[in-house]
Amino acid sequence: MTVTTKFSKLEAEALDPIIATMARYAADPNPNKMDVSIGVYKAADGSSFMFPSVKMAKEIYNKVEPGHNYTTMSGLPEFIPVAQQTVFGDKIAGEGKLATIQTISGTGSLHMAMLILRSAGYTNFAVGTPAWSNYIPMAQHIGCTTSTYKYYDEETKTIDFESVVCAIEEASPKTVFILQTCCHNPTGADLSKNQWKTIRDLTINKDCMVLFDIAYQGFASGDKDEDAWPIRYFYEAGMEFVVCQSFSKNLGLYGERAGALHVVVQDKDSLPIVHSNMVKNFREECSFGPAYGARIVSTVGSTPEIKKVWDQDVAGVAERMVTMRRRILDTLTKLETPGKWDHVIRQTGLFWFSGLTKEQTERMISEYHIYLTQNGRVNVAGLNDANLDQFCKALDAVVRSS
Amino acid sequence: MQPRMGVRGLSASARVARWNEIPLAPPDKILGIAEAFKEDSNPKKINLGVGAYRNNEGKPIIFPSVKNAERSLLETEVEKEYTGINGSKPFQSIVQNFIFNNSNKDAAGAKLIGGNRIVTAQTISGTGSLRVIADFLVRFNSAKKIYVPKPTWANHIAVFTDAGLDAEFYAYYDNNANDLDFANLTKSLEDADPESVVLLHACCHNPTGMDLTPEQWEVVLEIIQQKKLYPLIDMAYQGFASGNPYKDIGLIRRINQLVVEGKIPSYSLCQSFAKNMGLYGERTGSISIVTESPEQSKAIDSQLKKLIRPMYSSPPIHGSKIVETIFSNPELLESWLGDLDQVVGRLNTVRDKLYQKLDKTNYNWDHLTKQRGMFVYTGLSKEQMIALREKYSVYATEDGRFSISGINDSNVDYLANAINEVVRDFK
Repeated sequence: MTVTTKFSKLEAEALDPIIATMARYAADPNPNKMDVSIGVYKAADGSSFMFPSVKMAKEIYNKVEPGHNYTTMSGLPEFIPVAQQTVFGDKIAGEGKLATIQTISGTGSLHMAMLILRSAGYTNFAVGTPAWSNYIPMAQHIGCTTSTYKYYDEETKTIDFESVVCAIEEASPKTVFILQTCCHNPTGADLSKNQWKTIRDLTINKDCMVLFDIAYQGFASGDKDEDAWPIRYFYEAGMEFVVCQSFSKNLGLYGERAGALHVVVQDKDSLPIVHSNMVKNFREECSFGPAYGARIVSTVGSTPEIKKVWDQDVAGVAERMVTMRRRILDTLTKLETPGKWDHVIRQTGLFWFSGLTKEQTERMISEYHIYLTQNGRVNVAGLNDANLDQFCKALDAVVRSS
Repeated sequence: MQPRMGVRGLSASARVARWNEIPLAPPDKILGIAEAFKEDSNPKKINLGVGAYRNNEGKPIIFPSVKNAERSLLETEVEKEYTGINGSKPFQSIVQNFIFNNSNKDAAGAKLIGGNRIVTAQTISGTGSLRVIADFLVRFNSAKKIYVPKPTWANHIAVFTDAGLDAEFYAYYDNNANDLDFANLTKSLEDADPESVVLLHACCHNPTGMDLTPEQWEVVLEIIQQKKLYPLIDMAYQGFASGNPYKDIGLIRRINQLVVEGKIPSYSLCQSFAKNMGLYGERTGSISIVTESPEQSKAIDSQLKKLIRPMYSSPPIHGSKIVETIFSNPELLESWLGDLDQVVGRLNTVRDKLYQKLDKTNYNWDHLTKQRGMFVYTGLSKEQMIALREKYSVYATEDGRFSISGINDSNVDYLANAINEVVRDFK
């Protein structure tokens, strides 16, 4: 008997570029291969890193044995205030203007943000380039439009702020600006306080929306409060905006999928309406958020001794990356590598947007077994005392012979 | 010169989004019950609303096997890095071997696995798996209609409709007879639009607890072949019918056979470990698509990844690591099967006790003994359910469904008496 296929429309999809890079890395038999691609923090000895604060929270978890019951459809109740306080600070978190749900970490939060914004009529998403590769597919996935503008100038290796301003001034009504709060992925180039002020002034009277994506809170300055400054600054102006938060990086909880969506709603009567719709959207895709990661976050955030350790953990991560950046610059200077490399210390966070071309990147991989993403993005945390020289020498050789 | 504008000087409409375009979304019914229950001061109050297991003391439990697995996990785990977009590979193989291969006892399932004809992705438990397959079918299935049993879990319709499928009921249950309405069930499936999707509950039908017999499944599968319907199986309660998860998958074994024989080209299965491992809040489940060829498997696998990536990137790992720990250790696996058997044993005991104490002179309660799983579908009317709540502080959904794990030795007499009273009052 012959059967007609139900799925004739299907064609195999190409792998996500970063996933393709990871697959190549896994298949490379060279013992000296080096992975500086995906955004995961590694310890100074190159090993995976479990945050000491998370270890402490796990011990409490082990003693308390909270079990695995359903939480609520807006999340684990004790997680919500911790998530709010982390981004907004205690004062704002207590003012009752935040509609918050627990989400499937950062991506899940962005997805839920896009859904609620779509319901409110905001259907165009403006993305500064280059950007995290998932923003545009995410907006398209729910049938929204996207527009792009230049965020980063490859020549000067700094933010093209004129282009950002122009994009906001000329934006069509109901546009959502996705702005990364700190440790811009992939460029590591963050907006200055003055630039944030300009953006606030430009957006405050405009029928547009700001979506803050805060995936690396604390990794820029080493201080979580300092890194959240732009969000609190917008809040103080009485604006409405949304914040997509993840604990994947700043607690190393990647696979536990701990995150939240916050919507700032100024009108008391509208807040429960917005919240009820966030819950409804979540129910139709997930029902409940995963409990375990949220329990770890809430234990860390609500236990003063552990919270203090977390602050130190984050400061330590930021410091190690500043040190590695400084050493990259020193080593390239010593090698007299052609070109200017000081952007490595101007940029913040896990990523250094090296400026290597696609061809140079390909040679780093094929000739030197050093795996970075195709756009020349280097995860600084993948570097350490043992492999830094190897990395810099390879980069030097590739740049010299191009 | 214009004065510098302070916050107060701005018009509210400029700074404030127009959230009033959004209407208030209705709350989840079950959660409303939980809220009302919490506020009730009657010490004899009983909550029969939640779909989560409670022990004889009315307390939630952690399966001892799960507790042991989690303890060893917390000790040995050194990182929490991302799993793949479609989840952990070991978890996928466990699901395939456990369910489709029936741990080496299902030749047809083994053939499908060996021939690369099953694509499995780890998902956000059962709801997530339903959502992913609904989104997938909207994009790639020729027909956009899905037939669901009447009644079914309320969120089925919400999830399917929100994804863009057109949900329609097929007859399932006769509320007057308190029994499966098999004649109308087959009739409505025979009248279904060809190539549509049909949702089948693998066991412990939610909310009625009334399942099809193997003979009845045979008839349904025949109609599915004739009408070229696409079977979507939801299995949330594997193990809760018989106490043994290997025995509750008769439907899947039979479909596997039909697929191998070329009579049904493809089907999908949504499953979770929420109930049968008590992993509710950890969100541990999967979607499996049985495909027509290994080439198609490749395409479907890549499309599932493309679908999941913009929704949530990758699933949570804690629950799946617990499942992996249990399945990789024969002692833990034995212990889990024992835990599950005990849980189901208690539910059956409670069901029997309630049945014995109910007054059969005014109402035929025989359906209780035929229903399986976490629920009894009492057949009580909305008025009777409201009376139970208002006069006796017995909380459950107004469709007459009791989640029976809320019943225990200390409240079964009170409950039976309350039911007997409302049946008498509303005769």
